[in-house]
Formats: sequence, structure tokens, C-alpha cells
Amino acid sequence: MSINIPSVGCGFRGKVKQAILNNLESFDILEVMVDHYLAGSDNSREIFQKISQQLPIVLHSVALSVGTAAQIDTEYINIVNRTIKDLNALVYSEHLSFTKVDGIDTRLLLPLPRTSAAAEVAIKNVKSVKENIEVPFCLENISYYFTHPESQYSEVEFLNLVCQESGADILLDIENLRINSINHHYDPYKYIDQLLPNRVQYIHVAGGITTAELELDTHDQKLSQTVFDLLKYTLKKQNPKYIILERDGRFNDFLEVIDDCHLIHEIIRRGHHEQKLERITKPIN
Amino acid sequence: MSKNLKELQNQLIKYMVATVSGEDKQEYDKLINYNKKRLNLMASMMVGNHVWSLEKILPTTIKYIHPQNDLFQYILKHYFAYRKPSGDTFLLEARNFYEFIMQWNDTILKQAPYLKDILSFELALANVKYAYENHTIRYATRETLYYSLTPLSQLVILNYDIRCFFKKKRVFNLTLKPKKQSLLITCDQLSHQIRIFEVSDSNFSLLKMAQHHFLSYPMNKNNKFIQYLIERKILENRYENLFYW
Repeated sequence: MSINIPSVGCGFRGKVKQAILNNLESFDILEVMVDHYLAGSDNSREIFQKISQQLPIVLHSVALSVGTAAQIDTEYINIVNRTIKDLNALVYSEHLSFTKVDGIDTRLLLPLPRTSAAAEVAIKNVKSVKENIEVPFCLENISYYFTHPESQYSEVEFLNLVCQESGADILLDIENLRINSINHHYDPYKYIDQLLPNRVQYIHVAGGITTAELELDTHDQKLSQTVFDLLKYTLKKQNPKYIILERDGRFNDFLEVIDDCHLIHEIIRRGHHEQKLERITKPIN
Repeated sequence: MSKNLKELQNQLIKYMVATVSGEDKQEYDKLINYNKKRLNLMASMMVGNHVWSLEKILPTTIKYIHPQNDLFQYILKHYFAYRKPSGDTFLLEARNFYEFIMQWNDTILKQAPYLKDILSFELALANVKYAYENHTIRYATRETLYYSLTPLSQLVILNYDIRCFFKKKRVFNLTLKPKKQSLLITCDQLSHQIRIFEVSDSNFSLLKMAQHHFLSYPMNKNNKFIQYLIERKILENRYENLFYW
């Protein structure tokens, strides 16, 4: 198996459009939200299209709601397809969660009960998505603050089950993993160990905040040392193609994003170097 | 599809909407064993997500006024209570914000805190931006471009600079200590952008500009609707002294 050198980039946000455009050389790739592309003006869509001519684009969204116990929203899939085509996107990703029911859309990623019934719904919907788009599809682990009492599977078992049965790849959000492991008391390294082998194609990293009661997924801080450590560990175990730094606040400190991207590049470079050394020094049997 | 799962998802979201809109929470049998404190936390996050969607309509206001302020909470409370987010995300629905507010009756409109002042201000900026982008202010005189925000505040255009000063007598976020704030809005010909500079009350000066941001939004149907509301004089100006020179 060949070893990928992951492309590193950040999530495109309109508020830091100029900062991103001024620092394109710091990124190998950019992540665009389908929802932003859709909601933007013609002018903003043109900007996205121009950027896509300079850097590869990966596509992400928040409103597909693959976990809703209903048919997948085909209109939304059409929009995703149009965006993939407009931006020549390499991959599309969504969250393993639900955001809406008939008549109400919360825009909030809500956890699914980790049951066979919920897995069945998600698997069916993800298969439907995969059948209707022309790029690889990844499912992301979300951060969550409450657990459904009737859950049968652990978090990682549930993610693995849905991805295994639906054929989706995994988008591992390392900050979500860090937050959940603290809020719900488990070992994040064991979680990484248990992930389906070679299925993590895509990684998210971000920085959140710590309150007296909970770790919160705010996407507005510099990456923590724990996130860097978990990223290093993941890169030893998996072979992802894309690493995206998500930032949704404190945009005045956008230089932190650039710095963190450089640090991620450095981690990749060192990891790659170590892997090469291992190969060279490995005794021949 | 699983009927039980569907019912659970329905109850969960309805519970959260009821939490936000202040409706009576029904007895949701499927949520008996849930941690309600955590559910309420996620309900407040749901509001947070929608508040930020309002920046499509109130970009300047939301930038300078804490999103937990009573105007945004009021808008969202009514949004959740009477409209219910559906179909597309609110980010998209916000583009049709005027349709949503159009459904409010006069009583609801009049009770919306500061709405008239804020909509006026946003409209003023939208008008100025629109005029600037369409080059109609290039040769304009001060008189033609004078826009009155309230009797005690104003937007003044001097040559090619657009300057707006206003001070709040009270902050919108009541949890913060009251303090005076000021905004200076200026648009220079070279940048083709409206720049907003925030200066503290003590340092209020044209030359002491603490920070700047860029804005860009077209004269869209929301703005036209805002103008319509203002012309209808349906909004009660309960805080006449909110802005002053």
C-alpha cells in the first residue's frame, strides 16, 4: 500500500476570505461548505470557482441529515452534485448525525441513538448518497453533549458499523474525539486503535474551549497539544488524504490558522521521514 | 424506516424548540431518561447557530452587538414559535427574512427591542453601499446623501467619505456592564469598501480607530422590506435616545 502525504488546508469562511486568498501558498487544499456555496450570492460562487482553479477543493456539509428516519433529501443531493461539478471537488463529507425531522430543521448536529435501528437508517441513507454522487463520500464523527440511554454500541463501534455496511469512508474529527473522550470518559487512543483499518481518508482538526463542566466544540481556538498528539497517533495508524483545520470564530487571530497548518505540515513531514527510516532499517526476513 | 426512531427524533427536536420558544413543554415519554440539562444546553446551541445566520440580514449589528442580546433572542423566539425552521437551513431562509417578519402582527413588531433603530441603521448602510457601488454618490452633494438614522444620530457623507457616528446610551446585552460605545463608519474611494471602525467612548476620535472590518452586501429584497417597514411606521421607537451624536 502506498503512503499518502496528506494535503493540508482550512475550511473556507467568508469572514476570512481575504486572509485565505492572501495566504493560499500556506494551503494544499481548501474545504468548502455546500451550505455556504448554496447560500452565497452569484458573486461569492464565482469567487469559490476561481479559488477552485488555484487549489483543489474538498466539500463538506451540515444539512444532509443522514440519520433522520426518513428518505434522504434528494433536492439537497442535487445541490451537492452541482457544487461538486462547479468546484471539481475531490470528495464530499457529512456528519453521522441528524439535524432535522419533518417540518423542523435545527441546524444542529444531533447524536443518533447508537442502536441497530438507527444504524440501519443511516446505512440506507448513506448508500443512497453514494449512489447519487460521483466522488468518494466520508462520514464524520460529531461532538455531542448527551447520550441516548438506549444506545447499544460504543461511539467507534457505531461509526465503524455504518461505514462498513454503507461503504462510506471515515472523516475523523480529532477535536470532536478529544472533546467526546473527556465529556464521556473514554480513551481516545483506544478509539483510534479500533477504527476500521485504512478507512480514515479525511481528518478535521480544530480548537475548542474548556468550561467548568464540559469541553465545548467551538472551532475558535488554536489547536491544543492533545489534538496534535492524537493527530500524530492517527497518522501512524491510518493513511488519510486530507487534513482540514476548521475555524469558525476569533477570526482576528487568523495567523493562528496559518501557524497551525505549518505545524501540521511539520508533523506530516516528520512522520513520513520516520516511516521511511523504518522501512530502510527494517531487517529483511 | 423505524417508527420508534422517528418518534424519538421528533420528540427530541420538539422538546428543544419548546425550550427555546418558551412554549409549554409537553410530556415526552421517550425522553424520560434523558439528561435534561444537557438537552437544554444543546437547545441553546441551536439558538446560537441560528443567531449567526441573522448576520445575512443584520451584518453590522451582529458584529457589534453580542448575539445573546434581546433583539436576536426575540427574533429567534418568534421564529421558533411561529415559523419553525423547515426544509432548507435558516441560513437560506434568512435570505427571505422579510417574508418571516411580514407574518408578525403589529404587536409583535412593536415589542421587538430596538428593531426600528437597527433596521434603519442596516438600511442606511445598505443604501450607502448600493449607491457607492453604482457610482451614484460620486458627484453627490452632502445634502443629497444626508441620511437621518434617528432624530439624534445621523449618517453624513462628506466628499467621498461616509461617516456615521452614533453612541448607545445602554448596551444591548444586559448582562454586560453598561458602557458607552461608538461607531465610525467610513468609506473611502480607493478601497471601494465600507470600513467600520469601532472606537471606545473615551477614545472617540476620527484619528483613533481601534479596528476595522469589511462589509459587502447588495440592496436585496430584505433591505427593501426593511424600508417598507420603516415607511409603514409600524415599528415603535421605544428608545428614542438610544443613539445620539
